[in-house]
Amino acid sequence: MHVLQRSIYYLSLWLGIVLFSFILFHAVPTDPARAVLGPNAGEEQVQSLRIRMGLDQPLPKQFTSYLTEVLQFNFGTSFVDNRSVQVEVGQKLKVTLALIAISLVMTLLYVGMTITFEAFNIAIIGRLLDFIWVSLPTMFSGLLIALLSAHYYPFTQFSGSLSRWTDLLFLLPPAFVLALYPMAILSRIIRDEIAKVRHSQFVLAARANGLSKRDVLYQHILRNAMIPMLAALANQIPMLFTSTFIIEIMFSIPGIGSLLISSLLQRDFPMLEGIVILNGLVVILVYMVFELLYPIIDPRIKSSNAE
Amino acid sequence: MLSNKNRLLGTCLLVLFALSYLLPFAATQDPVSLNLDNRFLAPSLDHLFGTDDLGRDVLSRVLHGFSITVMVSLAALVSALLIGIFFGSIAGYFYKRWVDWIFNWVTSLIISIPFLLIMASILSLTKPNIIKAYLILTGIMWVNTARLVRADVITRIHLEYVVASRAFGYPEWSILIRGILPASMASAILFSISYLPEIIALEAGLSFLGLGVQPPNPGLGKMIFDGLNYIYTAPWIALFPAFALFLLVLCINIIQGLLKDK
Repeated sequence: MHVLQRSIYYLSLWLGIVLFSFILFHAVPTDPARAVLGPNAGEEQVQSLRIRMGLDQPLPKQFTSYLTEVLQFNFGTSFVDNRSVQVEVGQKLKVTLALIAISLVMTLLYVGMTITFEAFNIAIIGRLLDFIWVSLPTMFSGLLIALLSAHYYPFTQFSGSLSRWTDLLFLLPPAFVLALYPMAILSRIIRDEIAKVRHSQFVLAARANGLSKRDVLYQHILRNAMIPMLAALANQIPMLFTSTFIIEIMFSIPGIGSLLISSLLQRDFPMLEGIVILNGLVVILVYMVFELLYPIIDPRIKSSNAE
Repeated sequence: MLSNKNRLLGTCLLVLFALSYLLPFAATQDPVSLNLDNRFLAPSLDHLFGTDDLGRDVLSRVLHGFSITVMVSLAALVSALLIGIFFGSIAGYFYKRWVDWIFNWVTSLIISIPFLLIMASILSLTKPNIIKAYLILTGIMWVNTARLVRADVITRIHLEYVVASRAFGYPEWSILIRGILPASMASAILFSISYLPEIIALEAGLSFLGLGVQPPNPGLGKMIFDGLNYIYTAPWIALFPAFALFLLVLCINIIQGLLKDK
């Protein structure tokens, strides 16, 4: 029941995004067809595009036909070269998501490293590293890594579709740049949590029962730290996508970011709409997965939600 | 309720603002005038940061761009704070009623579309300029403050002094404004600085996409984007503006660290 309720809530959010993009691209510009073609286009041309976009219909009717098209995942074709928008965005989204996934794996590895530092009481190294990572803007670290990897990193070929294993290697340096900020945030949280829980009753009890310090850390403290970490990660998602766009442009990776900037420059509105709606869908799905994960990790959350 | 920490924060931000106001005066050369004889000059005593593809002095451009970035980010921070406190306190006070429900829905909506997408698509429909960039930055960043203030207000609405003032028959708005807000605001203001790096990154990101400061005026992001074309032959064009961004974020993080330790 609860799951159903939350799904409806998330669905409403997505419909909100669809409405947002409709208002943005169809209702706000007084004449979208003119906006697409620019001031130099002939009147005939504008008129034919107006009919093609369905702009001669009244607004509510435009919205219902828009909604049915979107629900069928039919975003039409690009204004520039008639590529199918959903195919193009889907393909680029795959690359972007692969990049984000690799960077998340790196983040997890780094968090593991932080925990090891904690276990061996050399947290000062981790604290110093975190401060550096958090202070590096994506644009600066991206430039540095791009320059370094151009000189010293052997895998500079990208086929564009993740079909070869070298493609994954190509994605490693940009994924590292992307991982820096979440790395710092998450390891800071885990350090705070460990410090908070270290002196609590149940840890003391576990120690009294004869568990070693390291066992207590891994088996008891970590589980408690999972929830705040996941919550922080969920908070990072919008920023993560934003930095991904910039990193993609810097490393010329054919992902959503590169598509975004080329569509922006060419005023390719169907493509922009497709990016907003599909990317919004992905983000909402990620939020949903996170929310489903919480009660699995910490059963106490379920009972507090029920009241 | 101006605590010591908030006073320190205010001073630091004022210094930053004053610095960014004064920095352009240190620029030795016109940041927009072209000089095609001086293209791609490497950093030297004449041009400390070198010159770019149109022969403009990179140092002067970085100083101007830096100042614009700081001004826009600080302005967006302050307005986001004001709007966030306003909506957040109302939503928090009417916790679990329809006002709060709508508030939650709208803020979740704004958060689920990646910021840059919203800004880029809005700006692409109209002629981009720096004022619009500032308005949109504010329109996104108020959500963070608002959620924080809401959560803080919720913890306070059941406190004894609030219940007591309700029992005395004070009107609702007076309880909210005089009783709850001062305490919630102090923590919201203190916390707002942790969003400043994010605002700066977004401002630079907008400029990077060509949606911030319009050329020929210098914006840090735009300079980095243009410099990418020459990153192997003339890396200083992109590296120095990026380094300026790094210094700015570093400064803010040091301020943040100072506030935490105090």
